[in-house]
Amino acid sequence: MNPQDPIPPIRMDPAALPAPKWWGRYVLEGDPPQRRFVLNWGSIITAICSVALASYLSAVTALWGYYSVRRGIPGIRWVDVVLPPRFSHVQDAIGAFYLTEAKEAWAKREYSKGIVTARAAVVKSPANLDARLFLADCWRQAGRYEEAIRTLRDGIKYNASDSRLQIALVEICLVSNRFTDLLAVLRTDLPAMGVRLLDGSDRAIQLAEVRAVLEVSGAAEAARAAGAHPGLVDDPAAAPLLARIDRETGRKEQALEHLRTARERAPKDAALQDAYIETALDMGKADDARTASEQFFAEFPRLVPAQLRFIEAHGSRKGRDESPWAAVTLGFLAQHRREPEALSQLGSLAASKGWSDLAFLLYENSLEENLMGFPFATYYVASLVKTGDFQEADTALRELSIRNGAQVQAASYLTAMVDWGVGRESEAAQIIQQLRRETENDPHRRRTIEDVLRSFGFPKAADQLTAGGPQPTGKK
Amino acid sequence: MTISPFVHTRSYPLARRPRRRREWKWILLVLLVAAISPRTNAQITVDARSLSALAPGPHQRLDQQFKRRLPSAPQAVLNRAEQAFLDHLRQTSGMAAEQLAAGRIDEDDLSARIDVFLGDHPELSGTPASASTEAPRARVVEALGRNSDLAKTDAERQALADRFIVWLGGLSSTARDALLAGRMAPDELQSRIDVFAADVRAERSRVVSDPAVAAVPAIADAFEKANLGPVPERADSICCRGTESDGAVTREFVMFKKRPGSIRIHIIQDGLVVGVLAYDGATVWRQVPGRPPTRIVGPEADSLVGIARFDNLLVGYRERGAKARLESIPGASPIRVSIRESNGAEVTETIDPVTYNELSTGRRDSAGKWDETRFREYRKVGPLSVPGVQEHYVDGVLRSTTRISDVRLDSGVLSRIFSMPSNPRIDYMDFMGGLEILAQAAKKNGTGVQLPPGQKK
Repeated sequence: MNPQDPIPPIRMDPAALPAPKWWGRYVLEGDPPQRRFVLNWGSIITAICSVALASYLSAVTALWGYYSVRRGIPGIRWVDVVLPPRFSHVQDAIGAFYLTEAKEAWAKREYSKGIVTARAAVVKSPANLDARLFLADCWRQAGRYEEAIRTLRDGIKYNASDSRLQIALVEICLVSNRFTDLLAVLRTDLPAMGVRLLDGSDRAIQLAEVRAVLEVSGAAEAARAAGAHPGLVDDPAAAPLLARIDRETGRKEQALEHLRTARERAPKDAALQDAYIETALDMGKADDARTASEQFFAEFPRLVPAQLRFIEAHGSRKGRDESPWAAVTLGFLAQHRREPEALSQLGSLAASKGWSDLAFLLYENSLEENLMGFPFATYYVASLVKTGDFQEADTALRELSIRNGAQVQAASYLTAMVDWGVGRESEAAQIIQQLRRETENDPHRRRTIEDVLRSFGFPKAADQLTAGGPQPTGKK
Repeated sequence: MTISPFVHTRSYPLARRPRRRREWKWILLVLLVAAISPRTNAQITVDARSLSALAPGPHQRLDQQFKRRLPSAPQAVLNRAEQAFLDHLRQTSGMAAEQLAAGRIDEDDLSARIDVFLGDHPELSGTPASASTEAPRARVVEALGRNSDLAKTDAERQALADRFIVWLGGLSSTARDALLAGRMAPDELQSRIDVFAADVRAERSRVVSDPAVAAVPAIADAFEKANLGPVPERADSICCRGTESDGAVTREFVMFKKRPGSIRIHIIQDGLVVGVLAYDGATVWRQVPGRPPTRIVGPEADSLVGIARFDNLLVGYRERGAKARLESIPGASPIRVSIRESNGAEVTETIDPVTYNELSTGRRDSAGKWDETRFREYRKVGPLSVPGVQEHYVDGVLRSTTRISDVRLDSGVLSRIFSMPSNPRIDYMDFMGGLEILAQAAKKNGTGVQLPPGQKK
């Protein structure tokens, strides 16, 4: 514009409004007419929704790409990421992926990584029973039974009716001697989800319950629990447990008779034969036990319990027992020379019988095979205690406690017996008190230790453990 | 650390050798003396004449010292303890006993010796040692703090603490175990440290004229630190598995060692132990399957005793009275140190100046040949450096190679495994004999108990 040009007059025409936009326009209203801006809400909302949708789809696609491409998780579909109700499918796929990774790590012996990844799989997909069972098994293999049981119990709200979960829970509780947990699962946790296993006819579950009651509440309660399951008393599979209940209530003859009848009905049942010999030995019927053990061994020559019962029944190691004892023991050692679990059972038997020569041989074998003296060093010391050689046991324990304090501490009842045996009753009483505190919520362990103390000839220590006993006093 | 069980045993350990009667007698005599002497040291005999023979002055001093420590003890107990102390002093230090008798013994010296003595024999004082859970090394470092002239920095005090624990182990393994288990009473610890400090001061006061001798302690300390770790964490026992090959035959073995000088070797063939060689600090013995154990003497026994030492020769050489000197030029690589034992035996150690790993150990044998073992492929097992490969050379010619495949420290080794079996009804080599028979029967008839597969590990 030229500066000399006249300034045009301001346009005062009310009809001359600015051009409308897509999101709004001016309108003239009122008298005199006033100009007012009106928003175009329909277009605005449409635009916002479109942008939001586009952003959401972009973000979702990015997330899908991240899972599928970058992390390589298989089984994730774009539509599952897009639609929130279907997002659980994504979680399941991630859980399954973690589970695969956890299994691979475990197979490579990367145990810590395996457990962490399996836990992530369970967190991502709590209903994934495979992941839960795998994680529980990892904990079990690591010896962390409490964690294994907790993992499985957490799964009850998702998979209560799945028999795999039920069996795994019952088994782990039995294996780890967590009988209180087992009763809680069978009587409270599962029924709360509408699963009443004890009302069914599964004998294994019924026996598990009776066993748990026996361990937690004693034989009388267990007999009542067994009576509540119709037909259980007549089942040969229940005979060993019922015989144990009879033995613990003082009806030993009835227990033996019960087992004898059951044996006749199921002659191929190894557990029955085992229980029969155990009961006969407990009752001092050495000839019965010897004959039965020979039959058992002839029937199952390569079965560990058959071999061990034979060795135990011929445990006098004198006269006619001497030769068969040596032959079967040597056969056992040759067959299981590199199987620590089987040898442990023989070590435990040697300790309970006071066969210190055999216990020491097993200890030497363990050093040779595994360069590791435990747990056979403990069995050796226990065998010395059983034979009354407390000085030698004391020397060995002291030697071990210098560098292997943790292992010695794990069998502190052994230290208590040795202390008691050499006259350090005050120290023994302190250990018993400590054990009493430790086993306050673990009746099974307390009962096991009590049995050991009694069978090794320390009834006073056993009484102190169960009844509290006198407080530690001065040295004898 | 020398691990090869065959390093100094050049013949197959079970092979029969002609025995020399004279040597056999000497070894037997030495073994008898070795077996008897610790007992005489441990036994405290009470000889009433000795105490009464003490002059009134020294007797009064002694009496005051014991009364101060055992205020509530009756006179009879005090007399017994004093007598036992006198006997102990006469057995362990004739000079100190004479000084006491002449009334010339230093008050602090006497006090420290009585503290140590009562700590070793609490039955005389009737006071049980108080338990302490404090870290043993830290306790020693703290106690050494009073001797500021010996160690000025923490590092020096720690090195001195390590040396103290080794020194204590040389004096009394029971006392060392008590210290490491936290059972040593503070008073006893302080007394022992006072005695140790006096020894160190005396050692330092001697004029060291030879710089090659003066250089060795620092090398030995560095060597210990690099290869054995801190003293309280050092292993008491070791188990290892390996093979030894002379180029033609490869033998598998398992070896167990325990402080101070026990050893047991299993020689394995086809998965069965075909021989045991062992030394428990007093008796060298061997056993073959199905046979009773027998004592061995002569060069074979000497070889086994030679390799039974738990630590390297450099460790604690001063404490056991050996002399060491630096043979290489200071700063040169590798470090070469010669160690001469009190019995005249001399060994030369070669050490890497960077890692302080032992590279070789050599000695001139009786035939004048240079007998050398070279070590390589070190790995750490706990605090211990273990050579994976050991090669034995005689006059520069490779004779055998030992490979260690598996090592475990402190895995529950009891001293009893080193002792000769004393007529058990069933022992380990009976078991091996039985396995051999079963294996032969199984091979011959296809019957009998089959041995587990994978015999060779």
